[in-house]
Amino acid sequence: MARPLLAVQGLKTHFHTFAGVIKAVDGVDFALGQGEIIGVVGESGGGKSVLGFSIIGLIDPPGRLEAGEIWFDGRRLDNLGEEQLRKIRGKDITMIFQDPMTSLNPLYTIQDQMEEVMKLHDNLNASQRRQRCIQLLKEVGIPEPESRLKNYPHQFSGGMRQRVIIAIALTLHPKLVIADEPTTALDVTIQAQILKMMRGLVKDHQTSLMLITHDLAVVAEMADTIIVMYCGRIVERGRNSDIIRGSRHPYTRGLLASIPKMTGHQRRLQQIPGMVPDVRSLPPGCSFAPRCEFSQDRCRAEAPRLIGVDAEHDVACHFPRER
Amino acid sequence: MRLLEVKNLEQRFDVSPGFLERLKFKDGRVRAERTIVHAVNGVSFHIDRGEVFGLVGESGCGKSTTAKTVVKIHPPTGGQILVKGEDITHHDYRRMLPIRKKIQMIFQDPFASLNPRQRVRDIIMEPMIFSRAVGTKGEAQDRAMDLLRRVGLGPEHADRYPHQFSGGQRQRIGIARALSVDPELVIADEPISALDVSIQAQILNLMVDLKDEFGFSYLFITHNLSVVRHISDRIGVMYLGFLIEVGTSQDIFQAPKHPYTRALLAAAPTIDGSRPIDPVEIRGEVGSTLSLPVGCCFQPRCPLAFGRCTEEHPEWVAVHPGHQVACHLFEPGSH
Repeated sequence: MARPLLAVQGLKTHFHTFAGVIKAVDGVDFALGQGEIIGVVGESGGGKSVLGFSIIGLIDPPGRLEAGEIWFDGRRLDNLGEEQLRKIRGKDITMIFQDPMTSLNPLYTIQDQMEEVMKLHDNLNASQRRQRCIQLLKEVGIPEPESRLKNYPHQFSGGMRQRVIIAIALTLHPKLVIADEPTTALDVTIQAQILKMMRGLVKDHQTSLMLITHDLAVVAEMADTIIVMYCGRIVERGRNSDIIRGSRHPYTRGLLASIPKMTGHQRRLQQIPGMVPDVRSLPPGCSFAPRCEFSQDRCRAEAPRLIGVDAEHDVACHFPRER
Repeated sequence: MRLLEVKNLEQRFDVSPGFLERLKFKDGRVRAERTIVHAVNGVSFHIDRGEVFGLVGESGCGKSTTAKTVVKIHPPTGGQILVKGEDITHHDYRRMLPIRKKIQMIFQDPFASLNPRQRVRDIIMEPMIFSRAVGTKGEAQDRAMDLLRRVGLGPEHADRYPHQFSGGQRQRIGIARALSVDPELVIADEPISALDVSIQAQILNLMVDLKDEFGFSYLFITHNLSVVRHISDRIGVMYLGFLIEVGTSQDIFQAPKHPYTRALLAAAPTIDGSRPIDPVEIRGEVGSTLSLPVGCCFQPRCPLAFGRCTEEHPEWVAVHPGHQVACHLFEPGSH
């Protein structure tokens, strides 16, 4: 890969609460090339959303970036001030949130909300802005965009709102879009429409996409590379096929096996025993060891580092499974 | 005899605003029109003993309302509900009590469906004591402990409160409560969709094991296609309050007929990248149950719709015994 668009090295985001330090992101490295889609998967509490927020500088106290570097397009982001970050947010890096019901302001028309980024970062006149809004709404598949501009968010369905949010995120042709569970709140037929549209837009504009989701099937269909997170760390990282078909980490394998298949028949599903540990008191050694059927003494004593097992395929496990 | 038989079930909700707000001037006259939600429209299906019947569809398609109407949480506005041959459609509260013991529910949200001020022990004992399923309180205690063990918790959990448990554990408590009165039918309304992926498999396995052990039936409601395929013997697909296709799990997934079923299967992302046979791609969004489309409910989004679809509502057509579809395409004589 040529110089990646986004490179995250040793990132640690910790939350200092009265109940203890929550290591939401604890030493994460990855790189994302231009026009590439990276899928970040894991269960709730895995740190995947905090990772997204950390990149765009949206971590509020008691959260803090403890260590690590975030390089975006040749600039270092993690030590930028709020003023400078604001010039990047909404222009070069945009974010799509999970809940289409709450991420639009109910008191403004969608035209107002769409034009906001243009006013902040671009100097178009009123009629140019309106034209751009109409063109964007067309791109995301909203019928009769001219007549919808003056509508308020409550006049749109969930799927349509998410389209508006995607339109806003793409307004200024950002280099990177961070989408945090963009289709989780939507129905499956709408999800298919939105994912197809997002994939098309990303590939057309050579935008990079960081897709954060708990849904392995969505990632399997969308992503070029996949990161699997567990308790704030990357447990496995690789190209789509490496993870979906050739995963080596017991957690990734367990997740994949626990999803009912659409073909063939199984009487029982394979399950991962136990549950995600409390992030405030993680076990020493590998966080997954208490639930792992292959764990040995070494796993409980020493945390595994992310080690390459193949070209572009890394696993954090002392005893990676055979292919 | 069928364990549960539902015939032409209909559920309408009147959501009209006050009389003055309803007044409208139309066609030269002043009218006060009502606003009706057509939540369930003529749904018929049956569940046999020991069977898992899955209801699948997108949000707002009426699957949860169907379930709630079956147990008469909402009294039905039309149709018939028969439990083991007994018509319960017009049963009053008192006559419903023995029926409720036979039909129990497991709810979607394990954080909202347990009383936060009750101990786990009392949560599980309450249905038994209320329905007089046990003679003494001691008996109820013993049974509660036994149930806790069977759902994978221990007696040490009995005196804790719901907030001390994770989502998956709470769902286990909800399951134990449902099983406490030995139901013959368990209605599970999206029982795993609020849970983490690795916990979903645990709960699904538990539900299958318990069914095999106790021999009850499930009405299993979910929007998740791979889950409904995994657990169901037979499946009904709902759209806009209508049941549009019913068949065995194999019928629906190997040979889906209705264009909506085919679209639904094509839309679901899969891990193995497998694509169903005969996919249909649909555009647009689900219509409103406030004003149903004329003719077939799916006609405004259906890429295969033709003249008849916008005129008459399709009747059930049997593709083969047990596999029925409500679509004009499959009527004898239509192309």
